[in-house]
Amino acid sequence: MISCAELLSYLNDFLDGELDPELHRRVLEHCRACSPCNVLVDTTRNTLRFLDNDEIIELPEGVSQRLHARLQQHIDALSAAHEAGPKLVSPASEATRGRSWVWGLAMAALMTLLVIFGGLHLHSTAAHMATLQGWLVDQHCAAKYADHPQDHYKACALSPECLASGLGVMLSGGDYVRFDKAGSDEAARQLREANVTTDLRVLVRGMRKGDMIQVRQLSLDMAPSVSVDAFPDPGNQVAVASKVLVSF
Amino acid sequence: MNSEPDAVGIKVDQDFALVQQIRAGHPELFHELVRRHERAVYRTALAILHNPEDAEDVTQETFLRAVQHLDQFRGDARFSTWLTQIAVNTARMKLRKNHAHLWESLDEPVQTDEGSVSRDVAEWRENPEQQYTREERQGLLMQALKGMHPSYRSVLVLRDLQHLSTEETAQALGLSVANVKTRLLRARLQLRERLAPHFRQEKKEQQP
Repeated sequence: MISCAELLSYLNDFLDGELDPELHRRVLEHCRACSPCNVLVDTTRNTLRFLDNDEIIELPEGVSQRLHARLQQHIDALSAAHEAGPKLVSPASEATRGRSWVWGLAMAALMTLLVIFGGLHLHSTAAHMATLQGWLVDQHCAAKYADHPQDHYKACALSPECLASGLGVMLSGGDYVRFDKAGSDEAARQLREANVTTDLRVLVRGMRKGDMIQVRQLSLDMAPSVSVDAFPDPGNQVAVASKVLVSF
Repeated sequence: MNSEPDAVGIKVDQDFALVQQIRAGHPELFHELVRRHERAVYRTALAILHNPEDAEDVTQETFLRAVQHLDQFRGDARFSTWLTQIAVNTARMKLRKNHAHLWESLDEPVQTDEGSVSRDVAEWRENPEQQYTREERQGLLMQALKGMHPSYRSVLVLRDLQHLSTEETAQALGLSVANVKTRLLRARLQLRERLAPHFRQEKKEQQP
């Protein structure tokens, strides 16, 4: 018969129905002979049943209405922008129009978040040379690591799925800028060779347009104290950056 | 558990179909996507933060972030899992801002001492959940969760309230599967001990 300690180690799998039949039988056998363990199993099962109720935490009155109202503000703002400037937009396919809706919604949400966190900076959407410092994050994981990009780790970035999505830089404010294909490949190459596991700091310089940067120089191997975060670069920061960036 | 395969499959397909329609130029459908997940997101936020106002803020910020990054959701994982990741991260950021000392403890290694778990808990009535109203059950749960170590609480909320799988929970919290299992066992046992006095007392009162 299994011991009480063994029963405890099997408890989760037993309650979740994930124990193989033989072990399941042995747990039941132990419970029949051991009253304290029988009570333990029963009361823990009751605890899970207590939790397993979708209605145990309901939305308080007004929460849903305020949430949808805030969302509608973004949709309305986007619609107004579309109606105000149709001549500035070239004729678009259905797919392109769809992407523009998502982009517009995204920008509206981003603007709100930037205002909330008190760090609003507006940048020209025209292409310009820029030097960015942040953390290397793949596009697939960008949302997940938006608030703590320093936790993103090497094995994740180099996994086939994440690598295929393309790499980019997460800036300290939660803004994400993706690399062009050549930049992503170079970042992956340097990452494979770098002696790091997490806190993947990256310094990159290139032609930025919107949320994409055409990478010309990039370095993962830099002192954390290097400070460049300019749009566009002041000359002195370019000089600092040029000491650590790798051209390719 | 609400893990009936067909129902889950249909819900997943409907989520992904909605995302595709939003991308195709129907942003108003985001309301429907929100309706399907707002309660779950709020529940996660409340269980982590214990403050209704903070939970509402986090719920709003979660959906705004989801909109912001919607083009990055590719349907590899369930939409609810992806959304939960955002909610947990947003709630953690709020927690870190409000209670730095608690945030620090989230990253500490968890000692496992299951062998010392008390088994000396009296038997509960058969259906303890039926003896309290929904509001009373929510109060009991919030009180029990409040005293729990944050690292256990997050795992318990995602696994047993949100019904994420062990692997999905590990992904959402950035933990190993083994670590999730260890923390889940501790969390369930802690919750059981915190709830026990309420259910045990009721049973005694009902006995002649």
